Amino acid sequence: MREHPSEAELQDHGDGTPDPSRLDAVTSHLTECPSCRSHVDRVRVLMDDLRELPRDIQPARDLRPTRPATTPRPPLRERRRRNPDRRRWLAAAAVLVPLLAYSLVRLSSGTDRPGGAPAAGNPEALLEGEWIGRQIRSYEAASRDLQLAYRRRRQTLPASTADLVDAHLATVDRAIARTAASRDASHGDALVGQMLLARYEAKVELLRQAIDIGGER
Amino acid sequence: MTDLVRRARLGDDAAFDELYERHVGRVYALCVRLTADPARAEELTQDVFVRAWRKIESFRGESEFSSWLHRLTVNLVLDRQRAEGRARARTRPLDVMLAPAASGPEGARWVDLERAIARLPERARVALVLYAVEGYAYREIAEAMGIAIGSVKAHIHRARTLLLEDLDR
Repeated sequence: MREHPSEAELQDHGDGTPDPSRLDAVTSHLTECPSCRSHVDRVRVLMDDLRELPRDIQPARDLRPTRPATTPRPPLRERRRRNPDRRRWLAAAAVLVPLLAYSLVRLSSGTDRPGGAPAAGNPEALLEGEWIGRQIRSYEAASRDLQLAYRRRRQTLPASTADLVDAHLATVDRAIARTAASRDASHGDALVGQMLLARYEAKVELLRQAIDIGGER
Repeated sequence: MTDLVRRARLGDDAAFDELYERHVGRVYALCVRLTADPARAEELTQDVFVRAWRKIESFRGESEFSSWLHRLTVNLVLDRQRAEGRARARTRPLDVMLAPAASGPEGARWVDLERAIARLPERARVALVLYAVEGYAYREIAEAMGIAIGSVKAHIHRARTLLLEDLDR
């Protein structure tokens, strides 16, 4: 083989993933061409160096997330599976209990601020509210951008798939709007904030999946 | 599933802290190589652990916890990059993050390599890091990045060419 193999062929050879149909030709060229042989060796050394890079790099500061102390993680799915009705009751309770508590506080104190809202003198609650606020802003930005990407992707989707995604998006958007209104009414209650985060997460995931349908854009 | 992961799934904060200690270096290394931005990598590392804390109940133990966390990290970083649509300005020099580990000739060699990786265009860098450093197959990278396998190969070829040129200077 007199002609030099392509750059991609030389790189694949150095990486140990040559095209089998060209293996003999490239190997034979390398025995005659010091320049290509040297290039393949450099690729081989580079790939070895990349594989040997340290797996761990310790960050300069502690990045342990500040987990909201007052918000327990949702119960395990196994527990929910044992009693499917329990999920419905929990959903109803999640709506009714804050409403009831809010009404009772308003009736007893005559103020607009419910007891669960972050009080000005409670730094932990303020920190938690700030964390949730930051997460919500980040999700809002991500879902706005993903929505734009989805609009482009939608044009190439089958109509039935696009309609299905749109219907799901409308449902998630309604849930976000309701939860955001509840959060405003509760003056940033942490539990409602967490519910809002979960809804945004569902929306971002749905958009991401819709954009990725078919594996290519 | 290890006892530590089982306890973390049940809401044991001390167990989750232990998981953080064990895996933060690996997660941060991945984030910093994929973004080439230490400050951004810190934000993303924190977000990875927040998400892991909220999703750990969905971890079924079918794979290693480290693999699950690795996948979660890659998905989160690529989602954010996709959502942002363009590379953000780097807010802190890369050397700040590399300096503590860069002692001796071996350290200096990989610092040069890390710097060169950080200078690659975003998609070429992501494809190369996932392939050469993290050991992903072309197909897995194509799925994670949402592009065709041929495009993954093209990004990797380009990245290698640029790296060799950069390291020759």
